Amino acid sequence: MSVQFTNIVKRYGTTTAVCGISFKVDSGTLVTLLGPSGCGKTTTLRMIAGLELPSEGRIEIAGRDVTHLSATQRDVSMVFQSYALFPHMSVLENVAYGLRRSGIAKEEATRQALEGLAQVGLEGYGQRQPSELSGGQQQRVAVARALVLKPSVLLFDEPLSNLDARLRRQMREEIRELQQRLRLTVVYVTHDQQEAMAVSDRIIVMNAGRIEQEGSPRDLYERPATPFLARFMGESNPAKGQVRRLDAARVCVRLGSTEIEVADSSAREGAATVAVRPEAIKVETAPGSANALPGTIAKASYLGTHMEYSIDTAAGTLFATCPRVERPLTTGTQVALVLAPRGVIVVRD
Amino acid sequence: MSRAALSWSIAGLLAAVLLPWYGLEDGLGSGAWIAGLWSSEDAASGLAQSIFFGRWWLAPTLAASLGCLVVSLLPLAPARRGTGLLIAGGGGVVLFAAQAFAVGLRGWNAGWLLSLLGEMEQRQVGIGAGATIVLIALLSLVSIGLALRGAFGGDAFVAGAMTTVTASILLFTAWPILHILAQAFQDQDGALRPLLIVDRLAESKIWSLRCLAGSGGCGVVWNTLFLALCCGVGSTVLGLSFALIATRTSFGFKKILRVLTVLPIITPPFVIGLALILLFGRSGLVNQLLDWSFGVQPTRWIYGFPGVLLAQLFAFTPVAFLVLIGVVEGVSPTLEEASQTLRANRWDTFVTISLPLMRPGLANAFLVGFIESIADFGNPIVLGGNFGVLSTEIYFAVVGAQLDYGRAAALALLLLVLALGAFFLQRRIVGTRSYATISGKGDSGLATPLPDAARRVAHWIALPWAGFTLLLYGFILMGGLVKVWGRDYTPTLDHYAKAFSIEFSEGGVIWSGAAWNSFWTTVELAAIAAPITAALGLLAAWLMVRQRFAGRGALEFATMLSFAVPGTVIGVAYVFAFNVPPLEITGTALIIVLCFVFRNMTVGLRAGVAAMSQIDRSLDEASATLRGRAPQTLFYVVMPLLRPAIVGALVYGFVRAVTTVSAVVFLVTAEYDLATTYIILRVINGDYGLAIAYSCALIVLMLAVILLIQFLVGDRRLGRRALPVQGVRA
Amino acid sequence: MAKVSIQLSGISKRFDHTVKGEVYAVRDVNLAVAEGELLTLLGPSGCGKSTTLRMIAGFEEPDEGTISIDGKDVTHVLPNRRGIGFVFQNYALFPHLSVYENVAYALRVQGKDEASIKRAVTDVLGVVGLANYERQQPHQMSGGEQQRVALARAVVFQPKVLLFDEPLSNLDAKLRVEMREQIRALQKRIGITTVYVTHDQEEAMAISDRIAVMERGQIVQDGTAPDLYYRPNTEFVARFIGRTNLLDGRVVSANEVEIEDQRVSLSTRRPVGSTVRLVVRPEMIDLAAAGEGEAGTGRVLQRTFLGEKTDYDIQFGNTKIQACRSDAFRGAAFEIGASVRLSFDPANIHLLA
Repeated sequence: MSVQFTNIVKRYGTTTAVCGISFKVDSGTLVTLLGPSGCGKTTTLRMIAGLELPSEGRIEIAGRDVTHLSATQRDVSMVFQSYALFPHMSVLENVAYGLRRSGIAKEEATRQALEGLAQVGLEGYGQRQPSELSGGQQQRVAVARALVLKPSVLLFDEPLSNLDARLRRQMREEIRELQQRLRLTVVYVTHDQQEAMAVSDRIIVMNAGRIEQEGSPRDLYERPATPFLARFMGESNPAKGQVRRLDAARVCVRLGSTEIEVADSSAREGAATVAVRPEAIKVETAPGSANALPGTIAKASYLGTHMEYSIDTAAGTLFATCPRVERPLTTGTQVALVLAPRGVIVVRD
Repeated sequence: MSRAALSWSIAGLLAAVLLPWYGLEDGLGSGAWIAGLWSSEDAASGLAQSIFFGRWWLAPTLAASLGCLVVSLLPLAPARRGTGLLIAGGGGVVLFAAQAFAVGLRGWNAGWLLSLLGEMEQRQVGIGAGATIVLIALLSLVSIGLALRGAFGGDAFVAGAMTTVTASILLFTAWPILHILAQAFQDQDGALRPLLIVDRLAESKIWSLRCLAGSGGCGVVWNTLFLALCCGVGSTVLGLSFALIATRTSFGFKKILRVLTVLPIITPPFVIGLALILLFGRSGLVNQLLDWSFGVQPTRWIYGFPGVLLAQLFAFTPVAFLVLIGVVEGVSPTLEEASQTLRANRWDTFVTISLPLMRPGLANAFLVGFIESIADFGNPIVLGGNFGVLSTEIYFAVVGAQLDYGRAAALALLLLVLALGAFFLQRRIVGTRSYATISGKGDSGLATPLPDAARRVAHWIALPWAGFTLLLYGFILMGGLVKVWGRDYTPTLDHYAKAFSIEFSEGGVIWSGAAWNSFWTTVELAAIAAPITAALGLLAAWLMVRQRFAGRGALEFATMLSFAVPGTVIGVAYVFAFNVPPLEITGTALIIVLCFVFRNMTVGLRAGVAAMSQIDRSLDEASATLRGRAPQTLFYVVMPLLRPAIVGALVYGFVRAVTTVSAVVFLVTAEYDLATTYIILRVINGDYGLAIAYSCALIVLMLAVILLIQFLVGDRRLGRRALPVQGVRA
Repeated sequence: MAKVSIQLSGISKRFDHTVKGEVYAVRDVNLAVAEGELLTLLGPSGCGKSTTLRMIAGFEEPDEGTISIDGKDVTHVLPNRRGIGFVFQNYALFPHLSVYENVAYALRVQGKDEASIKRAVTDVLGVVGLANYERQQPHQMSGGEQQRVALARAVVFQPKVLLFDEPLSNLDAKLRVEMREQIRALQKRIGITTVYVTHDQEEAMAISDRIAVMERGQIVQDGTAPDLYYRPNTEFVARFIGRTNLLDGRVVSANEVEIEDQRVSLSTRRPVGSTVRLVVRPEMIDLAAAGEGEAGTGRVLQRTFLGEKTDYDIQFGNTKIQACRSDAFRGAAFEIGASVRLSFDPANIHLLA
């Protein structure tokens, strides 16, 4: 049930939406195509579905070359951003639709459809009309409709963007749980990096039609390959530092007067841009612990449940968050920043 | 607003004092009336009439106007002033109406008034400039009064718009129709005898079902219904085929298809019938060919049901096409893509998803065809032969030897009931289900091409029809260029010469052609009517879509009334209602213009409603929060975005005015003759050559006007497909 | 006491037709917004927040109650006479006008002269960072840029009150964060009284001076972000704002509550033996590695890495607990199935009334 893309290019007239990408989705895993609007992730997804055909390259699903097959002929199901439930059919008829089109008799199709509804927690909703359901329920119907066909690959096109913020979290957990329980091969598209990190086994970050980096959520977060990735996957806090190699696996990063030992096997020596994750900065009042980076608070913002501090240091201006809102530090206070090595990342310029 | 109230009060009083109250034979142009303002009974002003000429019933209205002036001058709180204006102005309107309807050409108009108040010497003729302005002033004061009291959001402009639209519809649509309905229940002397309508309608000519048994014709009611049914189904199928080809295939000649669909709209309705006669009539080309080659005797098969149906299909398929193009394009492409990812091939997708989603639209198109067929007059009159329908029956009752107005009214009532019945059925079917996409965000799918089988069927239906249409228009063109169709096919320009000859003398240009009189009249009156039609229709659309107020439903119904009522009925109604005071305008150009405007207002209204529904409400609200009052929002935000709709309304208004037959056939006079009625008379007299030449000229005229209007008012943006205009998302 | 800029008293509005058994869209809402304050109406879809905002704007009229702005009763006044600026969810930029004309609209309607219009428009465009965009048409711009034009347009004529209706829901996640900071900065800079509507509680907490949480047409709690976060009144508010754990505890004494088998010192007036509901925020639970079966431990069911922190679902006795912590300073994350000890700091637990 794996998906293999080899050198796929997609052109529309004179513009190239996808510029020669190759990747593999292992069977039973959830891989997310992540990136800003216009990066080509949706086009790529539609090419997996067969709704668009590539200009060049090869697509294989479960070992079979499907490059020139239409959507009808592929064993791929899709959950659309707008759910695309058929408004003139009941919920049950929607779920049974694909089964009927595949030639399955009505009673059997109905039975399987009822099972499918139960699987997503919508037992008893069969006779309702799609317009009577809430957003979250509609989405579950769309998922059930796609799942009953037992597809080789299941695709999700930004499924949570039409939902309330709170519902988003709940639905993404449901999707992930379903995928893991049934060991489905899923390709998921979103622009929200937190969502991507929460559900994925692997993430493929795309930018301007190309793959920037792929890896597990942790890989991408702790070892982003480019400044773009450092910024895109979480807050980046760029700082100026000096790198000195200690051994094959570790380097010494000097920020201002502070030196930190960081695990990194590929950084080059010399001046470098260093991304410091905000959660890796502990703000202490001066003089603070040994080996802390001294700084002055330039700006203190109250963000509801935590304080955000902008701190001027010798390595640049860093910002850190602090949950203590009762006694906030004021501008001009001298502070010392303790940095956790895990959150100090040398980013290739 | 108090300044506005003051101005209107003064205007009203000035009109009552300085303008002739009653209509003048020669109109105001001559200026002779100025001398007679106080002395001549004909030209006296309202005030003079009531004082010097014993027309005391005008005094209460004048007193009410004075009352309005007083209310405007007093220092009152807005709400109280509003109440005052409502009482004085509203009272004035009521008094005006009362006296207008109570006193007529023969003194008291109603029997009970006569017995109550005794014989009266004074008479009253139709109202003129003075009375009109007084009435308008009073209505404006009522609107201002309403606005002051907080109605319509306290906005005098909206109140005024509402009053204008309501008053016009009441006066020029509701009143004539109610009048004619009443006629159906009255005998020759005007006495009310309700059961008379049963007599008038209980004829076998109307209801007989003999045709089912094979022994003769059926009653006109059954003919009408059957014809309408066939026309509805046929035009929907044809329209759908065209719409599918135009939007879902890569057919190369799409532009030609679109032109072909527009042609019948700008063609006077009977021209198609005429062309059919040219081809299939007794002396028609096809019959002659068959006779010549196979010895088949020419028959008159074209006259009667087949001919009328054929002609109506030609005429009304374009309307179905326009309705269905919107429907076909409205099917969400994402739903079709979803269907494909659910293992459905293109045919399955088309049959299980696309067509069902189009169902409400198909029902809509069917009923439009149905109603147009019921109302059609031009085609049945030309091609009907012995196949009678209600509209032709009505015509003959009025114009023919019978001269039975009561019968005409009764038939008109029947026709109205049928049309309204179909109309409400349409509202119920379309109103219940809406298959718009459920969630709002992002429909970026691509439209699916038609499955092969469907494409072939559509092609086989539409293309021959398109070819036939081309052929027909070709023959129409030819028909004006041959000497005598059916006998002498020598090419000639005689017919055009006869119709449109011009001579140049020292005095200037003499329009000597037979057609010029009606031609210029038509162009003038249509050109006057079109902007009024568009403005009124768009104003009413704006009120219906954008404003919230009580009575909106009633307004909707009233406007729909003018659409659902067949042209013959309106024509007859106008003749009856406006032949007598208070509004005595039969025989004038004004009545023709009014008929044009109110017959076609719904076109502007529908286009306006459709276009305005596409403009997101938040744009209006944004303008409001930016200090824009209602008129400013209307002119600076809504109107610029409505340009395509404005163009459409102008074009339709003009075109329908030029091509109207059924409504105006009763309103034309020797002085004000219209092109369409002229042509029909030529046809009835057998002068086909001239009729066709004239028709071609009309078609060319309208094409030219459409291009002109597009150029002047339209925007380059017209070329772009209309997308819902929201606050513009990137 | 700061001056009250907007006052809603007893505002109610009925639905056109009963929606799922509810008759009232908004019921008996009382709200006071101080001058210069940014108040957010927060709640799920259908809670009545947008309807309330639209009543303040004048697009809808309340069935009962009064609304006053700066002391003047505006309950029945038209929107164009209330002196408010409104930023719409879909921007509502006039598509046929350029950016300059869009922003200048209100000033033109008021009849201001060309020179002062030009000054005001150029100023405000500079403030929102669109200095050279005057000639652009709306459809040529990105979503974020369009929203900034809408903002500029709404403030250029110096209204008394600024209203936002879910202005950021159409934007990408990262852009949302950027734009909300810009909106807040602008609001603070000109000091304008603002009412903001959103369903995103993170957004609300980041920018508001005060938040009013609405549910089914009524305001259920009204306070600052820490108030709502640390001291929610009801389960609904606790669940709606951020993630939360709702635990049952048993009152052992006037000063102690037992959670599973742990005792925590919390003072309460509830009778001994009764059950109380406790609100504990996930980041407030301290986790430490533990041996199997030790007292006060739970088992890790699920672990989700989110970059700046890791979420844990832990089976604690009979309850499922959500906890989270940042890994930066803590060493390795816990594996699924591992035993962890949970510690509750009484300062971080809130008893629901």
